[in-house]
Amino acid sequence: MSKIKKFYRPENLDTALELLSDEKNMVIGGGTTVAMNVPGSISGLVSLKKLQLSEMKVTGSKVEIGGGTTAQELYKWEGINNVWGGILTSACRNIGSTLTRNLVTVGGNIVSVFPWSDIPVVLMLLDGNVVSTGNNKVPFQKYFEKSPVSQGYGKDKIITGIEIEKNTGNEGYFWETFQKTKVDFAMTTICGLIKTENKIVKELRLAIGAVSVLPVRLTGVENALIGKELTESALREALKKEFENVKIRDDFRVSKGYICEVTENLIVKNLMKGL
Amino acid sequence: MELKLNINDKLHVLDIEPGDLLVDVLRKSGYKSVKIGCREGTCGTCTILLNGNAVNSCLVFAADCEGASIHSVESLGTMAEPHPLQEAFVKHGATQCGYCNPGSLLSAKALLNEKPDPTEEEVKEALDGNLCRCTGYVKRIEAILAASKKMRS
Repeated sequence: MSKIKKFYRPENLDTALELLSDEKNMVIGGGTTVAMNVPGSISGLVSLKKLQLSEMKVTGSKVEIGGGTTAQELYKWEGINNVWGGILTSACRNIGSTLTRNLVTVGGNIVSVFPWSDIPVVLMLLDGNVVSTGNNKVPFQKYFEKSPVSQGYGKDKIITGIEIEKNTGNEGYFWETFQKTKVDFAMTTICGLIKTENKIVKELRLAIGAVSVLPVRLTGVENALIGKELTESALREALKKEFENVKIRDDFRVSKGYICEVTENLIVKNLMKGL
Repeated sequence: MELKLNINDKLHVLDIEPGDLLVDVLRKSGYKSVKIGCREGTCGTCTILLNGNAVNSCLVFAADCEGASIHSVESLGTMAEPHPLQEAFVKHGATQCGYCNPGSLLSAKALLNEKPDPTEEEVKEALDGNLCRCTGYVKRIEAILAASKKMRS
C-alpha cells in the first residue's frame, strides 16, 4: 500500500511553491528516485510536468536548458553537441539506460544529486548558472558547494533550468567514468579541460564526481599547474596532495585508496594524452 | 483518483491510488505483457511506450500520465498477424524464455519509429536497458536489423 495519498499536477510555479510549503509534500521531476523509495514523511507528490519546463535553446553566447528536459532529450540535442567539447552529451549518454534517460530530468538530476549523478560533475567545470523561481541565478560551482535540498531547492525554490555560457572552442576536453557495467553506478567520474601554449598550461579545469557526496572541483591541482609545463610527475604530485583534502565517501565496492588511485590514473591518462 | 489513459489507441478511464506505479495499473487493467522484474529500472521487463518513448513503467507514477498515450506489446501484432519485429525475433532465435521480449520489442519499436535504418550501435544503445539472460543479445540485434530491412522494403 503506497504512502502517497495525494498527487498534484500544478499548472504554474506559484501553485507548485504553495503546495511545496506543506512539509508532507515533495516535488518530482521525472519521479524515478521517488518511485523506488518514497521518503517516510512524505504523503503528497507535486509533479512539475504541466509546467512545461523542457525548452532547450541557444541564445547568443548562452545555451538554455529547461529543468524538465529529459536526459535523453539533452543527449540527442544537437545544440549541445559542440558546446564545451560535447562533454555534457557524453555525461547524459552515461545516465542509466535509454529507458531511464527518457524519464530522468535535468532538474531532478541536479536537485537529488546522488554521488554518481552524471550531469553535476560536468556542470562543475562549466561557466553558467542554475536558474530557479524568481529568475534567481547561482553559478554552478557555488550551487554544488552544499546539498541543494539543504539550500531549499525543491522546497521553497524550484529549478526552472540551467544556462551555460558557450566556450571559446580552443580548449581540449575529456570526460570519463569508471563503473563495473553500463548501468552500474559510477565509482569515479572525471572531466576536465585544458588549454596550452608552447606546452605551458594556460587554462586548466578539473572536476571529479562519485568519489564524494557532492562533485568536487580540483582547484588545488588547477592552481598548482597553470603557468607551468605539464609533466606527469607534477600532475601526480598535485593530485595526491589534493586528494588529501577531498572527503572520499564510503563505497562498499571499492576501498578509498583504490578509488583515489583509479581517479588519479584516469586524469593523468586523459590529460597527458591530450598534449 | 480518476486517470484517463489512452492505452493501445483505446481511451481508458481508470480509478487509481495517487501512489500507484504505471506498471501495476497496466497489469491490473489486463495488460499482462508488461512484466514485473526488478522494480528499480534496471531490467527493462516493464518497458512500455509513453508518448512514443520507451520507458520503465516501474519508475513512473500512473497519476503523472494523465492524458498520455501508452503502447504495450499487445499493440504490436497478433499470433495471426505478427509485427515484422516479432517475426524476426522468432526467426533469428531472439526469444527463449520470452520474459524480456515485450520490453525488448517495444524498445526496438521506439528505435525504428525514430530511425527506420539504424546502425548496429544504435540498436545496442536503444536496447541498453533491456536485459536478456537467455539469448546473449546477439540474436536480438540481428533480428532488429533484419526487421528494419524488411520494414523498409
